[in-house]
Amino acid sequence: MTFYRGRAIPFWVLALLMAWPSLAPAMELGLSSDTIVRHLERDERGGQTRSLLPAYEFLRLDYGNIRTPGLSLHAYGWGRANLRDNYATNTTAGELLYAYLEYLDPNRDWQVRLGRQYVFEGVTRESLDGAYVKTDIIPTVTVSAYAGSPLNLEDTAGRRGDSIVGARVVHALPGRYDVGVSYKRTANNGTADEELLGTDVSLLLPANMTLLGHSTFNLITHGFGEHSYEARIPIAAFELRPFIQKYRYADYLNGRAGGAKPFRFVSQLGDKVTIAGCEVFWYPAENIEVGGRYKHYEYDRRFGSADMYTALATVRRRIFSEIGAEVGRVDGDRAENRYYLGRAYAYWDIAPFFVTGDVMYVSYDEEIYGKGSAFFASAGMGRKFFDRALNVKLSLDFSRDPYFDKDYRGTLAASYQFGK
Amino acid sequence: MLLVSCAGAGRYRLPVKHPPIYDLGERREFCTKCHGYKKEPVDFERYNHTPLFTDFHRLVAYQDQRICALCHEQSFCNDCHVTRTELKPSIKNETENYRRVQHRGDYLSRHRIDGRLDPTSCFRCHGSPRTAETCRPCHG
Repeated sequence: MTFYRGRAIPFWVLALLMAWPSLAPAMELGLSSDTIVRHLERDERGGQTRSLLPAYEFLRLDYGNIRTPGLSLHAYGWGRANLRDNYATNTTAGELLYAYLEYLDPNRDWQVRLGRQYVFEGVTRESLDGAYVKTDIIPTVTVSAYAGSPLNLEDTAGRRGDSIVGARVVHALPGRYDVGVSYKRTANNGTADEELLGTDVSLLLPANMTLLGHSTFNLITHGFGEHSYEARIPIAAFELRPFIQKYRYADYLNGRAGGAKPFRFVSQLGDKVTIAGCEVFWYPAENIEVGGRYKHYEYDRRFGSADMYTALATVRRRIFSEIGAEVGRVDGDRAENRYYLGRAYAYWDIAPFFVTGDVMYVSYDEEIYGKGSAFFASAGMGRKFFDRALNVKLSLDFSRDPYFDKDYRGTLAASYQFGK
Repeated sequence: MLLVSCAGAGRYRLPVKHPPIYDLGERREFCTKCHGYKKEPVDFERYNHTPLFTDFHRLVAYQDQRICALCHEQSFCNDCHVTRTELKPSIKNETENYRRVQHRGDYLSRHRIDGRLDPTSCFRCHGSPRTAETCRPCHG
C-alpha cells in the first residue's frame, strides 16, 4: 500500500498542525467515508469462473475554517483489501490522493495551498506535491502559480529530478469577458517532459450569448495541439451550443516515455482531426429536459470521416429524482467503427428510500470477438438515515458483452458524512 | 504600492461555499434557476449542469475552478481526475445513474471505437504515464 510519496510534504503538514491552535481559533470538522464492498462473479471463456470480494474505503477529512476564510486542512485517500480473491495476487492497494493545508485570507484576495493537491486550470490538470498560490489583489487581474513535484511521472525513473512549475494570468471585465494565459512545464529526471502554453477566453455577447474556449501550444513540438471553442445561444426555451475543436495528434498526444502505446503510436501518424457540431437543449417545462448533439469528425490524412448522433430526454419529479432515456448512433468510416446505443434509467426518491434502474443495449455493426451486441442492466436501492448523513446503497448489475459471457456484480456501499 | 492601492473596496468575491443544494428546496440544479442569466458578477449560465455537462465541463473548469469548488470538494473531481483510483466513477457511484458518466455498461468494448475516432478524448484522462496504467495491461 503506497501512501506518502516524497518526504518533504508530511513534514510541512506536521509543522503546521503543531502551530494550528494559535492560527485558527474557530474550527470545524468534516469527515466523509465511502465504504464499498463489491462482489464479482464471472463466467469467462474457457469455462473459468472468477470470484472476487474487494472492500474499498474512501476517506475524506476537512478540518479548520471550512465555510469561512481562514486556515483549513483537507485530505482524501482510498484503500482496498480483498476479502476473497482468486483473481489476482495483489490483495491490498491504496493511495493518498490529496493532503494539503489551505489558507484563504479574510478578504479572499489570497489563496495558498501547501501539500499534495490537484491543480486544474488553464493547461494544467496535475496531481503534485508542492505549493499553489492564487491572488485577485490587482483589480480585474487574477494570478496563480504553482511549483512542486508531479505524481504522474513517478513510474518513469522514480521521482528524483521530477518537477512541475506553472502559472496562469487572467484579465477579466465582469459582464464583458475574461482572457487567460497559462503555462506549464514538467521535467522527468531533470529532462523536459511537457511544456505547454495555453490561452482561454470567455466573451459575453448581447442577448445572453457566450463564446468560450481555449487553445494549447506545445512548446516542445512547436505546434498547436488543440483549439476548442463553443458558443452558447439561449433562445426562449431552447439553447444552442455550436462547437468546433481541432487537434493535431503530434502536438496533443504527447509521445513521452511512460505513456500508453496507442497514444505514442497515433502521435507519430501526423494526423489532425476537426470535430464540429452542435448541442441543442429544449426545456418545454420546468421538469422536462430534451437534448441532442451532433458531432462530425473530419480527418486530415485518414480515409473517411465519422458522425455521432445523440438524443436524450429527462423528466424530473424533484431534485435527484428523475427518469431518462437516450439513443445514439456512432457512424464511422468502416463497419467496425459503427454502433447503435440505447439507454433508459430511473432514479426515484421516495424518502427516506430511493430506487434506481438502468438498462443499456448496444448493437455493433461489426462483431467484436464474435458478438454483435452488448446488454447491461443495473438495479439498486438505498436508504438515507440521520437527515441524509448516512446513505446505505445496494446495487446488482448484469452485463453480457464481447468481453464477458456473463458478468454479475453486486455492490454494497455506505456513505457517511459527519459535519455536513 | 500602486497596484495594491488600486485594489478597490466593494469588488465581488466568491463566497467560500455555496449553500447545500438540499437546503435550497426541490429545484433543478441549474445555476440560472436562482441566478438568472445575469452576466455579472459571474456568468453562472456557463455552469448549468445539462445532461451533457460532463463532456464539456473542462471548458469552464479550466477558467475558474473556484466556481466548481463552491459545491464540489476536490474529492468529487478526483473520482475521475487523479493519478490513480481503481474504481471508475460509474462503479464508485453505482446508483447515481443520473450523472451520465462515460464508462457505464459495455464501455470496455465501445472504447475501441470511440478511441479510434477520437483518441484525444481518451488522452485527456489517460494520457500521463501514471494514468495510463489502466491502458497498459492490454495496450502496453
